[in-house]
Amino acid sequence: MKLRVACAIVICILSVSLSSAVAGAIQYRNYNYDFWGEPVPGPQAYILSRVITGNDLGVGPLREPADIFVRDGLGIFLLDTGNSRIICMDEEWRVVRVIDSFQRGGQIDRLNRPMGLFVTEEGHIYVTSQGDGRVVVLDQNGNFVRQIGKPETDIEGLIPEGFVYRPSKVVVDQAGRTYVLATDQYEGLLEFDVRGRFKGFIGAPRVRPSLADYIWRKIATRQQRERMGLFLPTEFTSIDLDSIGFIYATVPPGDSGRYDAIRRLNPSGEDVLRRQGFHSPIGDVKYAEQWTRASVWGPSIFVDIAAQDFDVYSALDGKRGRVFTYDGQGNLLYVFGNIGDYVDAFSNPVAIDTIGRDIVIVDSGARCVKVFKPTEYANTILSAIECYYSGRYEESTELWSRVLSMDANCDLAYQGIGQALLGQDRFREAMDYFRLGNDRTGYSEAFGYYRREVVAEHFGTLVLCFFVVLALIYLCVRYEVWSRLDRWLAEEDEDSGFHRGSSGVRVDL
Amino acid sequence: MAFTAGVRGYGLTYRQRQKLTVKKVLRSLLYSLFLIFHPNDSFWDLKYERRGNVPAATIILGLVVVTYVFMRQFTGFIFNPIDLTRLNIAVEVMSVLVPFFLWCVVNWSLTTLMSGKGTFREVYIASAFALTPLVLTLIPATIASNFLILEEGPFIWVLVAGGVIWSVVLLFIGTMVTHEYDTGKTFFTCILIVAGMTAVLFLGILFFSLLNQAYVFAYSIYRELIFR
Repeated sequence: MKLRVACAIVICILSVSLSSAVAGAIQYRNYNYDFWGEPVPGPQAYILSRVITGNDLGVGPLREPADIFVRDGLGIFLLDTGNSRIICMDEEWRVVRVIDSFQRGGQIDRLNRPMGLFVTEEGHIYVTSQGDGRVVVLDQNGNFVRQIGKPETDIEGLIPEGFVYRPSKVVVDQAGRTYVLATDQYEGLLEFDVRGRFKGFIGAPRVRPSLADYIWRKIATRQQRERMGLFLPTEFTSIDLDSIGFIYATVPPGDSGRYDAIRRLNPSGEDVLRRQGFHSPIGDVKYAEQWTRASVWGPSIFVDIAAQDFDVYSALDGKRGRVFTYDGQGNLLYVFGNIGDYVDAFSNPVAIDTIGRDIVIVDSGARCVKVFKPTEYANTILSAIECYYSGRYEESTELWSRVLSMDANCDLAYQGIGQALLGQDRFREAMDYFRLGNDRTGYSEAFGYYRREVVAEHFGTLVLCFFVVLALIYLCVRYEVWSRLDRWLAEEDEDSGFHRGSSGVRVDL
Repeated sequence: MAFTAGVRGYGLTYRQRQKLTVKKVLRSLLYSLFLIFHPNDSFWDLKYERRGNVPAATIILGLVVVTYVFMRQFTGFIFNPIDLTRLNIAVEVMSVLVPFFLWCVVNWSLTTLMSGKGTFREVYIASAFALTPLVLTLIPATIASNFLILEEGPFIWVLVAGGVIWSVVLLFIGTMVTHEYDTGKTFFTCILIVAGMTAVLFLGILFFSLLNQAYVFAYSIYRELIFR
C-alpha cells in the first residue's frame, strides 16, 4: 500500500515536472480577454516550425529585412532592405531569384532603402524605394516595368509645401489602383490610378479637437498658439490588402490607447472594421501604465497586419512581439509570440504575412524569418469559422464543441454553439450557451423567442394573474386600506399612552 | 394611589414616555409612502408633527441597502454587466452607506454654519425618507429586467432614472424644509454639500494613503534593523 502511494506520488511529480519542462520550451502563452477585460489562459495556438536565415537560403546574411509578401501560386518575396534586394522564393523556401538591380532605360538601376513590397496576381512586384522617393514596378523576372514617382497635382495646397516623399508600404487593389503609405506624412494613404497618376489622399483619420482644446486655442495668445502642437491626424504604420480589395491599416495608439488602432478602409477610405467583440481590436486590453515598475508599458503598437481568409486578420505588436488574431466580428481568437532571445521569441519583429494558415514573421533584429504553424486548437477554430462562413452550421457547431473540449474558457466557442442552437430553434439551450459565452445580444434574442413560447403555453394563467392583481389594487383603493391601516396604527398609539403632551394628561378612572 | 396608578404615563420618565412602539415605527414607515407624493407638507410634519423617527429612517436606509445589493446581484443577465463571481456584498453595502452618511454629516456641518434649523437627527430622518422612491422603483426594475430583452431595455432605464431623479428631488426638498431655507439657498447649499463631500472623501483617501506610507516606512526601518 505504502509502496503504491509512493509510486503514485513519484509519478505525479515526474509528470508535473515533465509537462512543465515541455511547456517551458515555448517562450509565450496563449491567452484571451474575457468580457471584463481579464486575461484568461488558453491552449497554445501557434508554435515555431522553422527559422530561416539568409545563410539557410544560400544568399548570405540578411540585413534589416523589412517586409515579406506571399502570393499564392507565385511564391514568397522577402525584402532584404539593408542589402537593397528582393529574394524571390517558391512556397518551399527555395530561392528562385535574387533581384538586386534592374535595367532601366539601358542603365543599371538599384533600389535605395526599399521598405515595402507587394506582388499582384499577375506577378508584378511593386516595391517602395524610400531613399529616392519612388515606387518601382518589376515583373516576375526582375525586369523593370515602370515606376511611380512623387505625387504631382494641379490642385493647390493638396500637397503641403516642403513635402519630402518617403514611401514605405504599398498595396495594389484588383482594379490596379496603387495605395502608398509614406513616412512622416499625415494626410492618409496616397492613391495612384492605374497609370500611376496621383489621385489624392484617402483614409486620413479625421481630427476632432476636444472642447477643451478649442477653448485653450481661443484664450491662448498667438505666440502660445504657435508653440502648441498641431492637430495632426495620426500616421499609419502599415497596410495590407484583403481578398475583396479593402485595406487593413494599423495606427499607432499614442500613450493612452485608442479604439481604432486597426482600421479596415473601403475604397472610399471609410473605416468599416467591425468591432463587435468584447473589446475593440487593440491588442492587449490590460497593460502596465506609465510610472509603474513594468519595463514595458502602454498599449500595443501594431507594426504590421496580415489579412487571412474569411475576414480573419493577424496584427503584429512590435512592442511586446505578440501576434493578435481576430475574426471578422472583431473577436480576439488567440495570441502568440514574445520578445526575447529564445529561438521562438523575436528580437525586433517588423513584418507579418501568412502562407495558408502558417504565419510568417520577419525579425529584423535577428535577421531571419520565423514560420509558425497552427496547433490543432487554432486549426479547429479556423475551420469552425470557415464552416460558419460557408453556411455549414452543423459542422461548425461540431468544431466549436471540439474547441470547447480543448479550452473550456473559449467564449467564442460557446457563442458559436449558441448561434447554431438558435438556428435549430432550441432556445432554452441556446440561452445557456450564450450565457456561458457572455453574449448578451445572442442571449437576448434567444430569450425573446423562449419567452414567446412560454407565454403562449401559459397564456391563461398569466391573464388570470393579471386580473387578480388588478382586483387586489381595486379592493385596496375601494376600501381605503392605507388610511385604515394608518388609523389603526395611530389609535394603538393613543391607547398606549404615547404621543401625549404634558398638558394632555388624561385621567382614566 | 389608585388615582395616580390610573393615569397613563404618570410615573414614567420623559425618556420612557418617548419610547417608541412597534406600531409607531410602522406608522412612520407607512407615512413615507404618503411623503413621497406630498413632499413639501410631509417633510414639515416629519419634523414638527414627529411623524418620522430614527428607527423608521434606519429601516428605510436598510431597505435601500438591501435594494441596491438585490439590484446588483439579481438584475437579469442581459442588463447586468458585473462579474457576479467577484461581487462583494460588503463593498456594495458600503457604496450606499458611505455616500449617505457623508451627505448627512456634511449637510449637518454646513447648515449648522448657515443658520439651518435642522438637527443631525432631523437631517438623517429626512434624507433616509427621501430615498424611499429608490426602494419602490429599483426592486420592480430589477424583477422586470429578468423578463425583458435588450430592445425593451429603455423601460428599465426609465424606471431607474425616474426613481433616482425622484429621490434627488426629495433630498432637495427635504433639505429645504428641514432647515427652513428658500429654494435658492437650498440649491446653493446642495452644491456646497456635494463639494464638501468630495473634499472629505479626498481628505479621507489622503489620510489613508499617508497612513499607509507611514506604515511602509516604519516597516522598512524595522526590516533594515532586523536584517542588518
